This record gives sequence, C-alpha cells and structure tokens, in this order.
Amino acid sequence: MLTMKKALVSIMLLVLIPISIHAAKITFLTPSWGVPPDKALLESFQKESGITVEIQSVQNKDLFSRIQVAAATKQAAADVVFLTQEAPSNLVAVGMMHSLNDLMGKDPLESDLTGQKFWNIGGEQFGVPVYAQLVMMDYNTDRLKQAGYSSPPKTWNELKSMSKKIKSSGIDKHPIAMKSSDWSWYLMSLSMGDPMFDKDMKPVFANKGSKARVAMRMLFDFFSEGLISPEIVAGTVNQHSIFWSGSGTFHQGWQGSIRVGNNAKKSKQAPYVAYMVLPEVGNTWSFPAAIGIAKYSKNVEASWKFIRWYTGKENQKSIYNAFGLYPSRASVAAELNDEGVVDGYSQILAQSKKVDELPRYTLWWGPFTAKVTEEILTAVQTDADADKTVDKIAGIWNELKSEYE
Amino acid sequence: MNRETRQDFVFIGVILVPLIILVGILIYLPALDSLLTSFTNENLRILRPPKFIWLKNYSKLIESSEFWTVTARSLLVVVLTLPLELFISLGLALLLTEAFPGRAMVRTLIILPWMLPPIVNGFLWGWLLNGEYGALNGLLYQLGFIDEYVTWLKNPDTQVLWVTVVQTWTRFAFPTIILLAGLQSIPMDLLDAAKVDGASSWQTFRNIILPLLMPSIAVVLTIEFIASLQIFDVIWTLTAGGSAGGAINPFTKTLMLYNYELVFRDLRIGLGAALSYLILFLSLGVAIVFVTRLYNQAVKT
Repeated sequence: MLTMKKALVSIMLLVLIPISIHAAKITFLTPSWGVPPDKALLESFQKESGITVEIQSVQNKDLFSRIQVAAATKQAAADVVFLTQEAPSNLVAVGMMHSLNDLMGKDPLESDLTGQKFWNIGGEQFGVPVYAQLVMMDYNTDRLKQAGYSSPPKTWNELKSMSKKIKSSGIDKHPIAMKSSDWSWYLMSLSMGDPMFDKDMKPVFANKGSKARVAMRMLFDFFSEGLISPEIVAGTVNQHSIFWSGSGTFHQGWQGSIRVGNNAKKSKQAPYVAYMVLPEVGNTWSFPAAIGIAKYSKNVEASWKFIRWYTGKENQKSIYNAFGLYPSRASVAAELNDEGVVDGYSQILAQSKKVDELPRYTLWWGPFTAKVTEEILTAVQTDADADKTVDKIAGIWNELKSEYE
Repeated sequence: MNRETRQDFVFIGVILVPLIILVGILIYLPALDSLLTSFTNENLRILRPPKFIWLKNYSKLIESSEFWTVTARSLLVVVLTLPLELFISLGLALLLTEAFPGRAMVRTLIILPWMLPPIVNGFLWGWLLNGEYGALNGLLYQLGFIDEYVTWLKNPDTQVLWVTVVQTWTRFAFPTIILLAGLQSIPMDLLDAAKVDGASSWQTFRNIILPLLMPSIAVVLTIEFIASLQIFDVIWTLTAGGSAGGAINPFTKTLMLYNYELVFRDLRIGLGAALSYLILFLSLGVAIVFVTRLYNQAVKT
C-alpha cells in the first residue's frame, strides 16, 4: 500500500514539476546590448528565484514588429521587453505595454532610479529605467594632435575643416563616424540650437533660414566630401563598429561610449578616445532606456521579479562595465564615479546640462522618424538638395500629424 | 453501395474533408478576413474602431506614386532575375544530364545555396560585397581589375543589380532540379532518331529538347516569377539598411518590403491588406498567362 502511495506521489510530482517550471519561465526580448552581460549573475538570479529567463536577442526593428504583430492578436511576443528610443511611440503610445502601477503598489520603485518620469504617461508607469542615455560625441585625441590641433572643435564648421585636414593629410580616410540617419540630423540641429518643434508640434525645423537646414546641408557635405565612410550609406556597418574598428576621428557616441572606445580588447582607437561637448549651442537629447512588461504577458509577477533584478545595482554595474551604458541608479553612478571608472565625468556633466528633448511620445513619431532616415538615405545617395529634403520631411510630419490627430 | 463507392466515401470523409476544412481555416478564412480588412481604415497605431471605407485604400494606393515606383522596381527585379535564373539553370541542367565522374556530388553541391535560408545568403553576400574587407574586392584587387576597394552596395543604380545576383544565387537550384527532371523525361529514342537523321546539337536542342521542356519551363517561370515578385529576405539582409525605427532603403524597396512597412512598421493594417490583394492579383494575372500560354500550349504540342 505504501509503495502504491509512493508511486502515486512520484507520478503527481512528475506531472506537477514541469507545470511549476513552465509557470516560472519568462521570455525577454531585447536588442543585443540589453542581454545581461554577466552570465553568472543571471544564473544566480534564476537559481534563487526559480524563474527561467529565455533571452531573445533581436534587432531593434524586429523587436517592434514582433510585439506589434503579436499584440494585434492579443498575444505577447515576450513577457519582458527592452524599451529603446523609439519604443515610446512604437510600443507605449499605441498601448502595447502593461501598466506597472499595481506591481509598484506592492513593490515601489526607489527614488534612486532616475528617469522614471519619462515612462509615466497619464499616471501609468510603463517602464523601469535601466540606463541613462545622453547622445554625445567623442574623438581620437591622438589623430587630432597629429593634424596639429590641441582641442576639439567648438563649431560644426570647425569640425568639418578639421576633418578635411585630417583626411587630406592621410591621417584618417573617413574622419567622421556618423550615420546617414535621423539621429545625425537631430543631433546636429539640436547642437546648432534648432528646437526642431514648437509647443504646438509645428515643425519649426523647416522655417526659412533655420539651423536645421544648415545642419542638413552640412550632413550631406560630410557624405559628398567623403568625410563619412560610404560603407555607412551601404548599411553594412554602423557608426560605432566602424569607429571602433579604427576608422574615424569624430564619433557619435553616448555617455559611456569612451568606456568601450578605450578598451583595447574592443576598440582599435584605445587609449585615445575622449568626450567632447557638442559644438555651438551644444544641445543634445537624453533618453532613459528601460524595460517593461508586454501588455498580454501571462507571467506578470515573474516578469516583475526579473525587472527588479535587472535594474538592480549589480546588473547595472555589469552593464556599465560591458557596454559603457550609464546606470539609471544614482547610487550606482556615484559608486562607479568614486571607484574612478566613470571616464570623462566632467564632460558628461557639462553635456547633461544641454538637453533639448524630441517629441518621442507622439503617435506618429515612429513612422515619421523612419521616414526621416529614408529621406536622408535617398538624398545622400542621389546628391539631393538639403532644403528640398527638409521641406519634404516637414511635409511628411504635417501629413502624419493631420492623419493621427 | 458497392465496395469501391464505400472506399470513395471513406477517402472523402477521412482524408479530403478534414483537409479542406484545415485549408479553409488556415488559408481561406484569414484571406477573407484580410479582404474585409482591406475595405477598412484599420490602423493599430490609432486606438479607434475601424470604419468601412470600401475601395478607398485601393484607390489611395493606385493614386500614390510610391506604389507605382515600388511595383516598377519589383517588376525590374523579376525581369532581371528570371532570364538569368533560366539561363543558368538550363545550362546546368543540360550539363548534369551528361554522364561524368562525380556527377552525383556536383548535383548535391548545386542544391546547397537553395538549402541555405535566404537570410543567410543575404548576410553572406553582404560580407562578400563589403567595401572595406569584402572578399570580392580582395579578389578583384589581387587580379588587378580594380585599383582601390569599391563600396558595391552604395550606388543606388547597382543595388538592384546585386539584389538580382543574390536572388539568382539563392534560387537557381530549384529550377535546375525541375529542368533536370524535365530533361530526363525526354524519350531517348527521340534523341537517338535525331542523331541518326544527322541533326546537329543545336538542332536537337531547338527542335526536340526545348519544345518538350516547355511545360517544365512554364512551371519554373511561374514559380520563380512569384518568388522574385515576393522577394523580401534577400533585400532585408542585403540592402534594406534597416536602422532604429525600421527605416528601409528606398532604392531597393519592392512590393513586399512596402507591404511590410505599411503593416508591421506603420501598423496601417487596412492599407496593407489592400496592397496584399493588389500583389495577389498581379501574381495571379502573370501566373495565368504563364500557365495558359506556355504550359497548356506546350502540353498540346
């Protein structure tokens, strides 16, 4: 009889164990830089919590479409989602993320986590900040010295003339590592002091004589004069990989990018990379990258536990050490600074005071910004006129605005 | 009811009916749903109930210049790919009908690019054509054909050509197999008779092999037309130039990429569904022409 009971219990356990394991399994959809870099840390989390995390690393563009397609059929492509710079428009504004308010009611987020406000829409929290992104520029000090310059440029015109000299003197074939995309234009425009949009969401970048027009013209010049590698236009490389592979003197990076640039194992530019505060007015945009839970996730509790671990101190430190992504926890940032591992802290601080946000939460921002990149790509491949391109982009903005409003 | 009729009923009931139901549920029902969606203004980005707008999506597409540019580009890919594929696969099929040592191995090797997913082929060619470290540049430079490395995928005029090359590379094995099967079904006595009558190789090919191969060619053209018109993976990995936010390189945007853009990036479900139906009508129209003109005519001959 006892043996019979034992057998029954064993069978029950065999049946129930897989069910409990299944219930504690979550999927995490993320671009490559969101994959937890410290495998041992992740394993210990899995062991302690009993939650198995299946990580799906995909490209940004695939990340959005996966979630959008799944959400159309009221399914979650993954439980936890990494929220990048286009996520506010592509995922949050379109209602594809789960509100974290209930979870935060039981387990409130610490005020130490900066950037929470960015992901709070109408009182609903949709993401927990992972790292603070501040788009910056860095440069190779040695190449600048070789060309006879002792300090980085103060204007974009200066940057252009320095690049031309660096190229003509054979120091660097393609001195500027920037992409033929929306980002480059926004960065240059904001840096020149153009607000791009007014409070009524009118595209003031298209005003006659605007700085954004100057920025577009200059960006096109960078390409036509061969200051940016044509491989970037071909789309086979991006500005970061090409810079770290050794090509480029000025690089569009972020707060933390010189951590990678000066790592000899990852970059041929090491140890000469330093930040520069953006030229002229010097504005940039900032963005707290976050993680959240997909709207139709069936593993909300387990996902929350993972999010809390992911945005915890240890993981933030390991993310900074691996990818140079600046922690969203003020205490971690302070600790890293005390340890002396935050390179270029004073420049980061100086740059962080010059921020002008873009309207990323507007419903049509996603399709708009993709179209901006397409127009820039078209223009640099056909030597199109910068003013006409800006006018066309303004037309696209107005058309989308009237459609979505 | 005799035994044969009973067997027929069993066949219909057990195999045919479930199959029809399955195909109906998996293909025709979603297709019908898409058709109905194509008459609405459904846009997942705007949280509102979709409104019936009849044929407005279709007229919007037909009136837009982008639709015609993209259609023309898709047809250009087809026009460039089909002859190239047919030429290569027919040549290979003719070669592989001949007996030579290692023929079985060569036949297997030829299938290899077809066995690789198109995405892998796209990435592979992307690396080969890279302007900084690509193998093609290395080879041409070593052979003295170029003085400096070329960024092959930068020029918008040549991007479509490279897409054609990679699509041909990805697909040529399938037509080769179909044509090889077609060649092997040609009766040997016809070829022997031609030889006895003193026909040259060209005459044998033109008057015997080609007419008898026409049904296979029609099949190849139909399938490859659809594959080329619906090309996606190769462009996505080779020249789409996707970046954050999903921008698509306008110079290699074909119908399927445009459809992807409308449905999955911009979430304009209604408009995207209408485009899907326009693509379906286009594919269907050309397939009917191939089948009725080439296949039926060849079979009659």
